[in-house]
Amino acid sequence: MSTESLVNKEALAPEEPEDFGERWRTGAILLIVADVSFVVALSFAFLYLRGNDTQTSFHPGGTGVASLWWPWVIAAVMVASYLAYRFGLEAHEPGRRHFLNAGVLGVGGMFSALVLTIVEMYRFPFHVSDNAYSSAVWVLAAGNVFHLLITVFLGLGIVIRVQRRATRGARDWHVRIVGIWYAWVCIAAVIGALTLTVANGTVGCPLAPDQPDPGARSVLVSSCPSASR
Amino acid sequence: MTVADTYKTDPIKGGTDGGVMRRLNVGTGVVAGIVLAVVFNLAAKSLAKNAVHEVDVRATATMVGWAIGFMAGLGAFTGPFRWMIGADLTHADELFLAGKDQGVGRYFRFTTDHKVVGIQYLVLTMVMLGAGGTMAMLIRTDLISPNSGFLGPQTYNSLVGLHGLTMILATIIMVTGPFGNFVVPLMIGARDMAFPRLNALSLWLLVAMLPVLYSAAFLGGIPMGWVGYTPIADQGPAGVDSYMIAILIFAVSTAVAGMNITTTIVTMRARGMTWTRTPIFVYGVLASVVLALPAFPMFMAAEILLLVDRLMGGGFYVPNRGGQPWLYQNLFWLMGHPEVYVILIPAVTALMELTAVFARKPLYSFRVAVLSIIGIVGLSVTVWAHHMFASGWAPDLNGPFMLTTEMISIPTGGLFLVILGTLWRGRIWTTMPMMCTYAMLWNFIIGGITGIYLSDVPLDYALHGSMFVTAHFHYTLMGAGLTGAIGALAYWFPKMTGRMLGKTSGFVSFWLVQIGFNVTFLGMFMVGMEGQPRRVVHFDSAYHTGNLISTIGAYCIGTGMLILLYDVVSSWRHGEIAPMNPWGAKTLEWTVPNPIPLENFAVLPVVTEDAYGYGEPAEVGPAPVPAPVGAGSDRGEGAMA
Repeated sequence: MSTESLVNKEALAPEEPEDFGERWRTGAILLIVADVSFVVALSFAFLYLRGNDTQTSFHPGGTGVASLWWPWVIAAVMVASYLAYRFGLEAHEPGRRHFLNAGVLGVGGMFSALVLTIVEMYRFPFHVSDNAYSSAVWVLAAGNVFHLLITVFLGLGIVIRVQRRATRGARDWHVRIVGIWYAWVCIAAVIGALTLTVANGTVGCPLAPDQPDPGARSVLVSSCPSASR
Repeated sequence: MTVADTYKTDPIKGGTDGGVMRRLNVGTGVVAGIVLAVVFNLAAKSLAKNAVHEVDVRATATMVGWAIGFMAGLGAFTGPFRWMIGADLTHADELFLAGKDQGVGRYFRFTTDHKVVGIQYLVLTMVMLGAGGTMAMLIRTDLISPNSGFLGPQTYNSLVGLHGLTMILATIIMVTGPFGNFVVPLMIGARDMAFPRLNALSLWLLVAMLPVLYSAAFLGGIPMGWVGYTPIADQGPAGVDSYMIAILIFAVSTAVAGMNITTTIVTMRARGMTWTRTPIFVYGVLASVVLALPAFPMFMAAEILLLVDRLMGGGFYVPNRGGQPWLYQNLFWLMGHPEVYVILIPAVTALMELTAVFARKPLYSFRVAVLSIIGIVGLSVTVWAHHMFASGWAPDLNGPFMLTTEMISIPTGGLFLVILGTLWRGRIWTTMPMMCTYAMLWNFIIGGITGIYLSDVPLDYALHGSMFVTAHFHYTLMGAGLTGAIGALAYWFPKMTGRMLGKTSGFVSFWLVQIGFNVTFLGMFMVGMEGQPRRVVHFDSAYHTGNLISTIGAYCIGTGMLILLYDVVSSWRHGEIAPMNPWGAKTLEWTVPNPIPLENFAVLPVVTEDAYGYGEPAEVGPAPVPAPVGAGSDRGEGAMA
């Protein structure tokens, strides 16, 4: 492989922030790809166990069902926080103060979602050890807590950096990359809520005629698809 | 361009230079790790007092405390913390982290220079292979005769699991770690990795993992083997907690390293280095990390579910709570089979790289090589359930999985053809790295063909769980993978250390290892086909001869490896000084001087030809001369001490 010296100004200049930014964005997206794999694995585990219902013990009768209200509200709060962040990002050019307010709103929303998720976990009508269903619900919520902890850290960092005037404006790559992360955790929260909704939709439904009924009756039978198992 | 620009990270308003971060090193890491481990242990004791899973909770908390404390004490969290408070590291701090003007001490710090990290990976890999190899010797000594009594059943079982896990982890990092870090940035004409701090993080996480992993030996061992199968793992001793935490740390390290290497290759190749001019080894490393990036989080998820089972009484893998051991097997093998190619592809492509150099020919059919790598990567995620034929999971899918598994031999054969085509009518320079290519071809043929037997469902039913399987995967992972890594070490040793590896001891070691290897595992094929089960300490006297042969072969391997270790250590200290390009190779890493300056290239190179133009007339353009490395470093800051 032959080489030649590149002796012009462009080659000798230090890298532009945009070059750094693109590199960091690629890295962030790749890390998110790994996280996608992790989230999909958790979701798959939940639905796989639900589908197998080993020894009809995935969610036997007499044990509680997680409310769908909590995960969807938490996901909504997260999406609203992301939108606030995004709105602030778009308006960053006109004034730093504007973005600072939106950034605070965004991180505050994510923090609220964190608190809500922890409250949700305390209010589950079951223990993590009750059955595979309760374990799976608990792990999905814990995964959301983990995501939100990172998000609050990043959001707080951006707010502090904007406040200290350590960003370059709306095109600042720190700000944009944290925005990508905000979007991803919202998607992950929606995936979690969807998984729970799908699993809850058939929890407690009667089995096919040739199988014993586990006895769970936590949802209306009318909501069950025919031969749901 | 000065060395200061190499580590410029564009802070608008940085913090102040220096501070406590410059005093942190592996010593402070160990102290902080021990302190936090004790604190976490006591906290867990009070929180989980008299709980059913108290032992596991305390063991896990202690290990997590160790890992966090060690990394914090080392300074791994300084950068993120300073980022959060808006006081980025200054240029001076970045240069300090890069190890500028520091001596040997930089190898014991959170140093970000990719060359330092590459050497650290090399030493770490050798330590792990040494530990795993010692365990193998103990296992083979026990198996020298039926009921030898050398090891008790419990110890034997634990050693087999720890040996397997140690070797798998070591082989995963053995090429992408040392050579992916040291060589790839040089090979693509970059000054460093895309994320130098994350590079150091991925290395030191592995260092933090080692005590956790080996604590298993003192906590009851890992009775379920390296695969960690449930439900045994649900019921196992606290050693299983060590297994889980070690895997979690490893998975994080792998994800970070995979992201870093991928970003480096995709975004930092030299000007003119199009994908058709990118060396095949770079493709191999890229394929390996791209495959690992989504695969290891699956394994991580499997271990987190196991963690919930063991620490909190969860029901993921416990059938009477609606759990399902097949879930673990699926998640495990979704990582487990791609991981085989995570190990193999970079090792084989390293040998392809050096085969072109020593055959003095262009790499035969570069595009077939690239397409084969892409084919292997694509198919490798569709074959996982062939490991579960005998488990009873989804028998209807046995046929499709048999088909995909057998199909993967087609792109694998493509790699063979590329190497054979490169060797054909080449003017071959028989060096030790070149010998490794021959050995890999022989071993990988045997490993590959026996793999086709095992992908066949009826034969798999007969051979599953036997020593035949053990021999098969040793032929692929050790016979091809480790041989490739040794070839890579011998090839890049002059660039990494500035010294030549000893010739005579290298050849002696090579022959001892290769003869010993084939004696060991051909003997193992024999007893496997006769029906000897794997992972069983006592065996029938009918298998005595085969086991005796295998043990003798294993001693040969051990002796050869010790000679190689001696060769590496003595050559590193007193070996012949290596010229800049001892092999006359054409890739960019050979255009930089020894020792390599901190910034690698004083002037970034521009690539005008492909990397394998041996014996071909030069294309129109500048003569193939090395870049004027060092010449552009004004004020002479480039050279390392």
